[in-house]
Amino acid sequence: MSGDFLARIHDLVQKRKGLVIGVLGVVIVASIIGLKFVKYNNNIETMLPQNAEVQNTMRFLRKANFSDKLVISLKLNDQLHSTQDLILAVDQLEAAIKSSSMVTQVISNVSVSNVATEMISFLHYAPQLLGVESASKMKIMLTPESVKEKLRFIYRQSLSPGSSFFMPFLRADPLGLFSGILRNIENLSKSLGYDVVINNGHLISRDGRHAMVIVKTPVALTDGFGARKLVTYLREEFKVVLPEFISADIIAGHMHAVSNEDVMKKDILLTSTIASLAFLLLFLFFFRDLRAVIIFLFPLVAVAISINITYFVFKNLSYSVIGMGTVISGIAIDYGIYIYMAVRKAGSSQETIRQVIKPVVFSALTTISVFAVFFFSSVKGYHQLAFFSNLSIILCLIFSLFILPHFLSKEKKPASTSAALTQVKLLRFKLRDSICIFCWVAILAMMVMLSIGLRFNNDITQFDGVGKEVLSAEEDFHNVWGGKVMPAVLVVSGKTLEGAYQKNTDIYQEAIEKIGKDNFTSFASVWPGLHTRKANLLRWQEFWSTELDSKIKHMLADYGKVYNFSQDAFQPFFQQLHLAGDLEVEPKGFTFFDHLKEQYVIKNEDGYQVLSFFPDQDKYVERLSAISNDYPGVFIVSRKNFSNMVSHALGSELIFLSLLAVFLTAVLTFLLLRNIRLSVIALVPVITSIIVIGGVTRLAGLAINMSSIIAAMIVVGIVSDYGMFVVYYCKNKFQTGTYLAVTFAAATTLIGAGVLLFARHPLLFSVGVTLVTGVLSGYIASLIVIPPLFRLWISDRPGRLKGHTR
Amino acid sequence: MRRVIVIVLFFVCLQVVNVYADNSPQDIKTFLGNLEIKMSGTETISTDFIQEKELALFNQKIVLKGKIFIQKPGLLSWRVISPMRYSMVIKGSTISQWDEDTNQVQQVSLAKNPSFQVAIAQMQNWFCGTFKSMLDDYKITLTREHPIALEFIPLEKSATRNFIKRVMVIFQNDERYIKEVHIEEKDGDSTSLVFVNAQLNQPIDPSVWEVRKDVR
Repeated sequence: MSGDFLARIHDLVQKRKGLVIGVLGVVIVASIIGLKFVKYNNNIETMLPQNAEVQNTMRFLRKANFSDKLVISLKLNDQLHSTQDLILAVDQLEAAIKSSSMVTQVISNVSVSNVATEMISFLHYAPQLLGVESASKMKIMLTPESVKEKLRFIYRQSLSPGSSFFMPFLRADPLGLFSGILRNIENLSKSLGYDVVINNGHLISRDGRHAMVIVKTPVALTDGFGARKLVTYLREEFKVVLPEFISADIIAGHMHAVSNEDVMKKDILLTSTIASLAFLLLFLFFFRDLRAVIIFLFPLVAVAISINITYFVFKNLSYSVIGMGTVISGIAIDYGIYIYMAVRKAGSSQETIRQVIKPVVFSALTTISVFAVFFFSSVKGYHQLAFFSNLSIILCLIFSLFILPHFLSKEKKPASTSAALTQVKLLRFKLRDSICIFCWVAILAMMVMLSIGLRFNNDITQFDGVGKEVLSAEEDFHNVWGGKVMPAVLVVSGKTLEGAYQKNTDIYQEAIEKIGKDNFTSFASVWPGLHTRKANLLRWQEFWSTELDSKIKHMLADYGKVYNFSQDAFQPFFQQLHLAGDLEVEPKGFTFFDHLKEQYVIKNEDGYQVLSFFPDQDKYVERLSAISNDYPGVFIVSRKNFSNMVSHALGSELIFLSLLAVFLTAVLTFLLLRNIRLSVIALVPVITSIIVIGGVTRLAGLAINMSSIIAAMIVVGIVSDYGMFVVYYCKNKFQTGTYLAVTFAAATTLIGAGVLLFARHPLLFSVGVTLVTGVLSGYIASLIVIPPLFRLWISDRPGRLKGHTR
Repeated sequence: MRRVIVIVLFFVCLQVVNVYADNSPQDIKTFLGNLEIKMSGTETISTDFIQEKELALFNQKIVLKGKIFIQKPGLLSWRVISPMRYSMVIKGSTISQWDEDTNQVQQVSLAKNPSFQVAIAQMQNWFCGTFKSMLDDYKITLTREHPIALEFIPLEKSATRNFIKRVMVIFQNDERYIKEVHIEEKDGDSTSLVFVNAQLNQPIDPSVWEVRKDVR
């Protein structure tokens, strides 16, 4: 920046001071009012990469039929009331909420009074349902010995006390030919793992003291405001409708959305308050100058303006980005400090500003460049972060360079900061250079050793900052109803229902070969595609010839004589042998089938999706991924796999971004110092921070995650400033209070980052730990390691800086 | 004559209304509660039984004879002597079965067999007299007071409605235990169970809670 240009702006602001203050005041007031109208969102999708696989999964989760459901778990709180009272309360709750516009459907009871009849009736489809493998099994089951054994079994069962419950099935399937079909239906209905007893049609827990109500809602999980309205509405209804002896918990993704927002809001309020107080105290206590408060106000104003502009540009604002506000304030305040310290030390002249402007601008540029690399990321949330941070930093830089000097005294006041300076001087001279460098190398070596085996945690649920009460309700829910271990899902998409069923059937055959039938719960086990059923029917008709039919009839009659079985004993079996049912896309009039279909089939605007479930283990995900890759429109949704997908997609991206950030920092450092050795020395804090972050993270028993990598990149931008300033001072010896300025800059950044350690939200906490460790170690390195290194490597060798132009 | 018929019909209707009034949900709950209290004095029961089954599966009625042992809480032993020896013991949530045909002991966990659990829970309720809890599944009506006769009809949404149409339970005169159970099944089959020589609160030989291959 040329001296003339600086002088012109300086003079202009000086002449129009009143106008500048007025305009600034209007902008500040408008920004503060604007904050009221900014809409924030807590949508995790903003923070995910635009990778095809990740987006596939997110689209599925958004449209899946379980994302529009809430589960209400009602609990009897005393021993005086019975399950009947609980059922009564469920009915009252259903009546109260079912007409709400936020509720599409309430499922509180199911009729199971006709299930047995339906099941037996469903066996009419057996000829369509029994596959190739059944023919060989049937041959074994139809031998005289096997038939005799089966009849003896039926006789024994008929004498048992619970025979009423088995008899209809034994008459419909005396030879056990269709038992596999019934078992598959049972497995499918149990696959979600909830332990529910149907009591008077209601969903009751095994202990009879809890009832489950499922609420379908049009309110999307990602609609933060809608979710809050819905949860508040339901809680109000609980108070009005439910008697005192019954309590209710809501279990839903909506609760996570609301709770995360609450936690994040509380954290932002808490951290902002602590940071503001700490900043104020620091400035007033150390500077003992009321005008220093202006430095403190600049970042706040810059952040407020940036929030409004960022919202205007992006149309929404992520809470995670705003949560970084205190950190940005801590960084942006540095430029004001550098200017203030220079003016305090050397007086408010254009010469003073000129001496300090170069490192200030370059330090701002390095930080801006680090944030700017996030524009190259595929994560939309990172674009917001880059835009918001850089805007705040640029505004703060402008305020610091062109407005701040006009508010400061023009006199030199070197004595006022003597106390703090003395401490810094002590740091400078107490340690001998070589010992100092040796210690630094030893510490870094120790930290490198510690970093070995550092864990990378890619589980995205670690950033779910949901409150304790929600977690506790979920824990109780799983203790009562089970279903804690969620399976992975294989999703088969098709334009038509029949297309989806057939593809699902084809994949089912391959999947059970790869991971075993017991590990793969598929709708195809109960209802294969039409093409498969047609083939099964043809095979069945060939197998069940008139001769075989007659032979079996005779066998049952002959061998049944010994038990006195009646002529019509197995009439239901023979009736359905040749009925086979119509070859239709799906059976009609079966309530149990409709219930199962609701769990396994999703209809959306693109067609249909059929779901299959399997244990969420790497080996199964891997084997099934090999199958799904061969079928277009088939993909796997697994919590573990999703985390891997995200980390894989982000991992390579972050490596590129990190290298770019370090490269830009190094280039800018070189452009400022115009000397390779000086640039290397200036990068000492960067190297130190990165190594210490690794060591301390491991030492604290923590793991590296996506946020901490991003925070580490920000650390690079921050601590490189300290390096630049100290090296610039060592080289030029300008009396602009560099050490003290760096100390205050580090202190403010540490306050901004340190308050995040009070955050409950894991995302902010993780960022806080990395920033505090990195900034602290970078600061110490810049003050303790850079001067001895400079003396040993540069000062002691005359001519080293030859050719250097200031 | 026509007027007489109308009057007679009126009184018949009135009687029906009275019967329903006596069986309001709260009344029957109280009544069953009192009955349970009366039966709660009984800790052990050992009784012979005769069970007659009229099943579409068989040409003729089947008659089973045997013994039932009950010890509260949670122990039930069902032993059939004829026409084929069969034993079943329920201990908590485990069922052990044996029959002379296979001479094999089979153990079943109720927790893993929900359908079997329904059947067993029903049986335990009938025999142990815990009728109040059956209000979740049945509409229970007191059809006669001396000796007590209760009618159980599965509720519309109840799972038992899949199999059972109606159950009648008749008590002994002293109301300390049941005398007969008649079950009408949905598909037309029926079962009657008559308890003979019921002995209450008598010590029971612990061996009846064991199921062994060599049971005699």
